[in-house]
Amino acid sequence: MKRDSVLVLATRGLLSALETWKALLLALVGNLLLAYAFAHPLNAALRQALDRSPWAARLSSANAPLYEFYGELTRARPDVLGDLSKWDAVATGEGDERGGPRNPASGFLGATGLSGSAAGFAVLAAALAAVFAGGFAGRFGADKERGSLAAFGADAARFAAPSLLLGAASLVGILAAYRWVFVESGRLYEPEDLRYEWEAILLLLVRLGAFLVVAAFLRLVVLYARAAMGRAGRGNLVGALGASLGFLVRRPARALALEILFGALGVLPLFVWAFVGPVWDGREGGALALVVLGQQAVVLVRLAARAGHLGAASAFLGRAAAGPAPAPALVSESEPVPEP
Amino acid sequence: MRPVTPQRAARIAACAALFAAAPLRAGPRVPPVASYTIDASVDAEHGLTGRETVTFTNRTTFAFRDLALHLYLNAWRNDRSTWLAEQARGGGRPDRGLTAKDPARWGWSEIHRIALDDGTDLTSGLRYVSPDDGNPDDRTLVRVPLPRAVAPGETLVFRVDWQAKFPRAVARTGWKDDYLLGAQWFPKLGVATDAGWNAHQFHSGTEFFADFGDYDVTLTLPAADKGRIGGTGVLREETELAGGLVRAHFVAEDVHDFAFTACPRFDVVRDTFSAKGLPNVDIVLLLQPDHRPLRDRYLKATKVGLEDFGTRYLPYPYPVLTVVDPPWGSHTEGMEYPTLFVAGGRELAPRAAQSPEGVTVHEYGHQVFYGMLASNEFEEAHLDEGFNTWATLKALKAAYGDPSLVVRFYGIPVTFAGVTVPYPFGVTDRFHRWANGSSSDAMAVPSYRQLDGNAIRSNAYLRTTLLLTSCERTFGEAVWAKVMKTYATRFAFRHPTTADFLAVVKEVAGADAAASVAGILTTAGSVDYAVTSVQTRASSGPTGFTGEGSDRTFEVAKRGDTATFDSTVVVQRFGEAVWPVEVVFTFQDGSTLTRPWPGAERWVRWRLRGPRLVSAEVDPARKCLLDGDTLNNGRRTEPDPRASRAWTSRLMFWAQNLLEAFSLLGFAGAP
Repeated sequence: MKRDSVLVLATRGLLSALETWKALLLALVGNLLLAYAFAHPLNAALRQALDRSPWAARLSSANAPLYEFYGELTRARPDVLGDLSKWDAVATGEGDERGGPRNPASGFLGATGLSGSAAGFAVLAAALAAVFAGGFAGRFGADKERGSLAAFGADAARFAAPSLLLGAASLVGILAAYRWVFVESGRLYEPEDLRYEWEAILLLLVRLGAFLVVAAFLRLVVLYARAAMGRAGRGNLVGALGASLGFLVRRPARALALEILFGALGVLPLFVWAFVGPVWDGREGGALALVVLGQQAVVLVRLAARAGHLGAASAFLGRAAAGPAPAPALVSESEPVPEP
Repeated sequence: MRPVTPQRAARIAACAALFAAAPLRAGPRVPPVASYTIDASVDAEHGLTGRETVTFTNRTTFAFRDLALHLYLNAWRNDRSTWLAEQARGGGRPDRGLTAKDPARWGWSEIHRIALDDGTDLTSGLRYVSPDDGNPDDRTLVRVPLPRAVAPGETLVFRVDWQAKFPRAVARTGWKDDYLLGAQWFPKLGVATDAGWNAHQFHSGTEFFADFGDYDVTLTLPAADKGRIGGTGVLREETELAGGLVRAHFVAEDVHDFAFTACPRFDVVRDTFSAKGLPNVDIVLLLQPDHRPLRDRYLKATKVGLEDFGTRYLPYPYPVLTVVDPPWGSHTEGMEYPTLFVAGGRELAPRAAQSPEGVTVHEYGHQVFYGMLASNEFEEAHLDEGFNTWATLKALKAAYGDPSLVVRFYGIPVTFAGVTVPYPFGVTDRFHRWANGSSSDAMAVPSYRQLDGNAIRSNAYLRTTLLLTSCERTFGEAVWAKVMKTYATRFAFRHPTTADFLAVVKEVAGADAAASVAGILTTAGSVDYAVTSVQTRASSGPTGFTGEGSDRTFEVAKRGDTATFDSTVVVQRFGEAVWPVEVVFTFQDGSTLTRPWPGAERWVRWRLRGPRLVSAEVDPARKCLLDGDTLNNGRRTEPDPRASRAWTSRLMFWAQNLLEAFSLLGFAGAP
C-alpha cells in the first residue's frame, strides 16, 4: 500500500489524534460546558413543566405522547425554543419552495429563545474549536511532545489569531455560497412551473449538491491551511493559504476522499447511538452514569474523527513535501578489485 | 319580458327530464331553483366563449326585481380585485400562480349580452357591485335590473353570452401546461332567499353558495383531450369535430355547480363502489401518469369516503363520482365540486403520511357537507369545512389509524415510524397556535368578514373540528353520532344554517349541550382550565379552645393520624370560553375520585378528607380539545422528576452534538 494512500493517511491522522488524547478530553469538556449553558433554558423549562404535572407520568410510559407534549410545550412556552421556522427551512429545504431568506444569516441572530441563542452558541463553539484547531495543527506538525498539554496550549495560543481568521473566512465563504449558489439559483426558475415534481426535486438536489461541493472546497482550503501552518510552525496566513490552495489543486481527489471518509467517521457514531444507544428512564443513578459515559464516548469519537482529519491533512502535506520515495539504490556486483 | 309560467316551467322540466341521466338514487328529486344549459368552447390560449340559458324558479316569498350574477374569474382580472387584495394581506391561499409580467397568467370574464328568452335585452342595465367591501375595482358580482319582478312561484328564463379567460391555475381553477380545471367559470346566479339575493363578491378566504338545479353542459375542447375529459354529472357523449376539436356533453341533476377538467395525459381508471345498504357508484379516476403508483390508494380512499360518510351521514345519491389527480404545481389540488373532486398526490408518497388518502377522503366528504347540505360558505364556512374535517379525521382513523411523522428533506420524504401524530393532533396544534396569537373572531362572525385568512381557516376548519370532537367526547359518541346523522338527513339539499344545527343538538343531546356549543360559537376567546393549587396534609385535631363553658379546654393538635389526610384543590378558569369538564383526584392508595364541574365560575375549591392526595387534574381524558394549555391542567402534591431527568439527559447529548456540528460550519478541521 502506498504511503500516501487515503487509508494510510487516514490511519496516520487518527493515530496522531489519539496521541493528543489529553487535548481531546479538554475539547470534550469545553463542548460539554457550552452544551450545558446552551440547553439550560430548555432543561429548566422541562423541569418546570413536568415535575409537578401528570404529564411526567405520561412521558415516562412506554408509548410516551412525545409529539403532543412537544406541541403543548412549544405553545405554552414559545419563549423557550423561539421561532424554529428558519432552522427548519435550512434543514429541510422547504423554505426554498416558499421563498427562503435571501441572506442566510438574517433572522437567526434576532430570533428569541434557543432558536436565537443557537446562532450565538454556534459562533462560540466554532471559535473555541478554531483555537483548539491551532493547537492540534501545531502538535501534528511537530515531531515530538504530541501528547503534551502544555505544548498544545502554547500552539493553540500561537495560532489562535490566524486560525480564528481562517475560520471566520470559512464561515463567511460558506454562508455566501449558501446564498449565491443555493438560494439565488432557486430564483432562476419557479419549481411549480416545471411539469413533474421529480424535475423540481432533482433541481433542488443539484443546487444543494453544488453548494455542498463549494462548501467542501472551502472547508478543505481552511483545513490544509491550518495543517500547513502547523507544519511550518509559523502563523503566516497568506503563506498557509497559498500552500493549501496549491496543494489542493494538485491533489483534489485524495483530499476530497479524505473529507468524505472523515465526514462519515464523524457521523457514524451518532447514527449508531441514535439507533441502538440506551436511554435513561430517569430512575436509577447508576444507569445514568453508564448512559452518560456512552454519550460522552460518542462525542469523543466524533471529536477524534475531526482532529484525525487535520492529522491526516498534516501527514498528507508532509508526504508531499518529502517528495516521492527515493528509488532503491542500484547495487552492481563486480569483481573485487585488488588493492594495489 | 315574458316570465315563465308554472305551466311552461313544468314543460321545460319535463323536457329536461328526458335528457336526465343522473337521477338521484338515494332520495326524491330536489325542486330545481337555478338550472343551466351551457354551450362553451375553450381555445388553446385558454380563452372561453360561452352561451348559457338559465332557468330560475322563484321558490321564495320574495319578489326579485333584478338578477345577481357571479363572475368569479374576474378575481384574477387585475390586482385591485377583492380576492387578490385580500390575498396580498394574508387572506387566502399562498398561491404564487400569478405573475405581473405574464398576461397569459391572468383571467377575466365579461358578459357581452344578457337577455330574456323573449329577446328583451338587459345588457345596458348591467352594473358591477361590491356589497361586501365597496371595492369599486372588483368585478366579481353584477346586478342586472329586470323590467318586471319575478314573483314567488314564477319562473324566469334568460340567456347570457359571455367570454372569459382562465388564469394560470390559482385557487383551484385554471390551467397548467396542458391541464385545465374549469371551475367558477360561468356567470352564475346568487342564491334566492326570502330576503332577496344572497350574493357576495369573491373572497380569497371563503368559498361558494348556490341554489340547486339541473345542468346540461356542452363543451368544445382541443381534440387531444378526447377521452380524457371529466365533469360534474354524467358524460353523455363525446364527438370529434373538424378543426382538431372535440365536443363533450354532460348532464347533471340536483347539483349546485358545474366543473370540468381535461388533460391529454390523464390515465382514465374506472371502478365501481358497492357496499351493503348503499347505492352503487361508478368511480372515474383521472390520474396523472407520474402518479400511477397511487392508483389503488386513490381508489381505496374514495371507497373509504363513500362507505364511511354514506353510513354515518348520507349515502352518495349520484351514479358517477369523478376523482381528479392534478399535476404537480397546479394549485388545483384539494377542491370539491358536485360529483367531482380534485384530490392531490406527490410522486414520493409514503403510506405513513396518509397522503393522498387524507385529501381524497376529505374532498369526498365535501360531497355530503358541500354537495348535499350546501350551506352558505361565504357566511358560515364552518358548516362545510369544519364539519367535513371532523368527519374526515374519524373516517381516516377508522380506516388507516394514526399517521407517522413524515418530514421532507430537500424533497425526499423521511418517515419517522416511531413518532405517531395522532388525530386530531395537527388540528389541535394549528388551532391553538393561531388562538395564542390572534383569536380575532368568533365563529358566529360571517366568514368573509373575519380578520384574515388565518382567522377564517382557524374558525372554519380547526375550531369547528375541535368543537365537534369535544362534543363527541363530552356528550357521548352515540349521542353525537345521532346528532350528526339527524342533521345531515333532515337538512340534505336544504341549505342548513348554524341555527338549524343547534336546534338538532338541543333536540338530540339536550339543552345543556346546545348551550355549550352555542357558547363556543359566539366567543373568540379560548378555553383554559388550570389546577392552580394542590395541598395535602395529615389530618389532625384542632389547636386552641374547644367546648363551651366548663367544658372549654385548650388543646394542641397532635399529628400522627397519617391514614387520613386533608387536601385542598383549586381549579381556575383562565379562558373566556366555558366547557363542562371533569376533575379527577388521584390518591396514594391508587383510588380516584371524579367530580364534574360545569366550568362557568372563575374558580372552584375542593376540600377532601381521605387518603393522601397525589394529584388533581382537569379533564385528564382530554374530552375538551378546545383547552389551549394542558400543561396547567394538572398538579401533583409531590414532584416527580423522572421524566424531566430522562429528557434533559437526552437533550444534553443532542446539544453537544449540535454544537459539534456547528463547529464544522466555519472552522473546518477543528474538533
